[in-house]
Amino acid sequence: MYRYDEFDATFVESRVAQFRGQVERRLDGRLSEAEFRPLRLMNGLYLQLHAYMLRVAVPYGTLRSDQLRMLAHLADRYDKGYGHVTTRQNMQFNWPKLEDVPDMLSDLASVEMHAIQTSGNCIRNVTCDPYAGAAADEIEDPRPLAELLRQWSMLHPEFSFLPRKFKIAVTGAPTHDRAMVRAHDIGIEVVRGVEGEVGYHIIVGGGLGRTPVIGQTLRVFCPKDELLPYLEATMRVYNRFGRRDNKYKARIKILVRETGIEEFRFLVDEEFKALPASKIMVGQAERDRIAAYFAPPDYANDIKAFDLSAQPEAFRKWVDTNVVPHIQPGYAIVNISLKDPDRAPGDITADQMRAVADLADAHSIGEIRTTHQQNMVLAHVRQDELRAVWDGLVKADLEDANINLIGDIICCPGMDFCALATARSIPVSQAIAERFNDHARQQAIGEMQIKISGCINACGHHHVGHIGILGLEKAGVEFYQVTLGGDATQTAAIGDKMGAGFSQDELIDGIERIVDFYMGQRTEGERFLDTYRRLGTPAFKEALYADA
Amino acid sequence: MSTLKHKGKGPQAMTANELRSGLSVWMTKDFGWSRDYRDALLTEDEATIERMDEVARAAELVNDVVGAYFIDTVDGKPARYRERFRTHGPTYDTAELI
Amino acid sequence: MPTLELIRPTGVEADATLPLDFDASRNDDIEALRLPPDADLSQIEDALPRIKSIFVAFDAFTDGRGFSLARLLRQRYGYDGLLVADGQLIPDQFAFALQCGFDAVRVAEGELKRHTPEAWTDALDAFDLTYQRGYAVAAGPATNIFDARLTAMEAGQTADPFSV
Repeated sequence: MYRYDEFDATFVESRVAQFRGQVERRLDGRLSEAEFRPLRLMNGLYLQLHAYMLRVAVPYGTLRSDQLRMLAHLADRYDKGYGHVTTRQNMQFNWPKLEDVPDMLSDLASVEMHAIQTSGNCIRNVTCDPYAGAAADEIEDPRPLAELLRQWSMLHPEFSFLPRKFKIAVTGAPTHDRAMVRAHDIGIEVVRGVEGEVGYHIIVGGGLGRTPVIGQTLRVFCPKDELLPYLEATMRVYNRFGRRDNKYKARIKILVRETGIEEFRFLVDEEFKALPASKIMVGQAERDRIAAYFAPPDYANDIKAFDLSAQPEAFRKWVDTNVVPHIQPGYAIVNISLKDPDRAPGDITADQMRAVADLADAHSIGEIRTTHQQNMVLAHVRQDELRAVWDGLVKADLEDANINLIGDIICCPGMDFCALATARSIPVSQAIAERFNDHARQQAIGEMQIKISGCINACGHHHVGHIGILGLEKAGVEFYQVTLGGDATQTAAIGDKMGAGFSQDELIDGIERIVDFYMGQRTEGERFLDTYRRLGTPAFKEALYADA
Repeated sequence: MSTLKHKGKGPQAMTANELRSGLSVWMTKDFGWSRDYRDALLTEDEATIERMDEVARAAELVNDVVGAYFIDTVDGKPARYRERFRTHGPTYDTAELI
Repeated sequence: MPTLELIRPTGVEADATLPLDFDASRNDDIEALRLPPDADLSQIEDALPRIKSIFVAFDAFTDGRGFSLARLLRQRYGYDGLLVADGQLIPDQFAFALQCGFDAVRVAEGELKRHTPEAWTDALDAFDLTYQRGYAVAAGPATNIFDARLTAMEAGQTADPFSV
């Protein structure tokens, strides 16, 4: 993976020194809270419901083992011994002190990490397919592009005070989108042009939040050379014309909707034509330099066929759910579930981080991915070492076999931690996980994505959950609204809203009725989403409210 | 910066976060701050409320606390659900397993 | 309101009254023009060579539209007069302002108590180099990292990316 050169290292160290100075100026009053707030947010520091929260960037969800160990160190030294993997592949800490944050950033810089632009009205951490470079369905590894975008967007002089936050996601596998590119301000798919050349399909105006929108095509094919100038043109149109009168209407999706995609595209094209593209683009030599860091590892060709039948059943179950095919024969992609039914989805203790880092060193290439589904991935594992990986995961209590099943729930921190939340989400996720705890039942249900948000801002992606849950509160009582049929992939769809909300207990029963209804109605090979689309909303709605 | 002017109902409490630690605090009977809501001063007396307002504003100015605001209380507890959460902390925290 | 003349003298009197509206019927030189952040630049395009200085209003430091206006004025319209970021900026934005094409920042006098002139000049030293091509400025980040790398690579210093 990418290594900093002297320029990157100096830049991040400068940022740490700058932020240290900003904290000092805040503590002695030279910076008011109104001035400091946007500055600290641009460095990932929130003031949450009970304390500060620091969100550390995991650029495009890729970590070296020493970086994961450093996150474990931060958790132990400055926090309460754990971290939380977010739906944008970052890791956040719930209890840091303001005074400690500059030292945390120094520690991060020592392993080529930072918290730059993990919040604030700027271009956020670029997210990416967690199987990048290992997936058979990929046109090209999207991480060199993601790294280029990381660098280009760092403290951009023109685009650091945008109308609202700006999220970019990239995928190299447009036929199997695992990066939710249609639910981002800008989504980029690696595609092939008419001559077979590799370029980018640019999607704009997607997003969840209180106004969920599926992104639309801005440009069918953008040659590689033109990408940065074209993005600058797009960002400039947004920076100038995006609404600033109402923060709830300030995202680019609203500008695109109010302008119309044709007119918006016209504005971007006009801007693009007027740009000195050659002075903005980053050339082939630099792109090749970055890409070299993401060259495929040296694969072994002598890996013997792996006989599962002699292995214990629990291991076979785990392989069945958590291990997926790799582009290289003899290798596999391992998903590490952070969805222990008793825990908060995405939480991982410092000891577990170190265990995963050790496994990555011993049985992969010393590299770990975080996923938007709040899990981790070892992208390159020899099949004959899968058992050793599993043994290590069992020891670390990380062997849950539930990837993409009903227990693999996406869940925001909710009212337990978040200043914006209206209801709790963690206990709901735990209750669902407990109800469907039986592995055989989870397997029988098949692919199922439940996504829970504790407020309308939709950090838990409920709009694109097969079953989406939105937590609200009225007169001191939490209740939960359900959406069905959402889809976060290349066939992206916003879920259909059902009717009146439920209490937590009623909700779990209602979900069970939906699941049972699906099991009774599905035809051979049908996923929940397929059955839902075939039978339509009313049938499922009736099942959901059957008890009412 | 908060707008401290209170226009609440029932007994008022003043809350904020410590600037340095970020932890939630409530104004106490001696116009200091406590991280424990049980120490909070709850009052309907307008003169006292005025004084709480002044003290909180001053505490912000000297960078002790941040985002001070009044909350409504009912039967000694914060009226709003969110504010009740702030008094008792998360109902689930992975830290408790460690 | 004093001008922070950190880059070059603006030549504008501290208390000069700036015209808020542009009168297209005039054809003499215009000393100073104040632009709101939502200005339509095409309306003043023809007059730009006659405008000696443009003050772009920043009504809040979180409103970044002025940065794009400066960039457009310099890059697309070739404006080479004096360009001043005028209003609620903070020192942490000084380098951004210069990188986007401003010559100077003007803030209200009272603001200089907390954000001293030293704080403004110090802020320019925060970064030696930044990433974006085409945003270099002599007083701040002198060039960009991509070009600096290319120079280093061409000099044979870092041809092998793993040798760094």
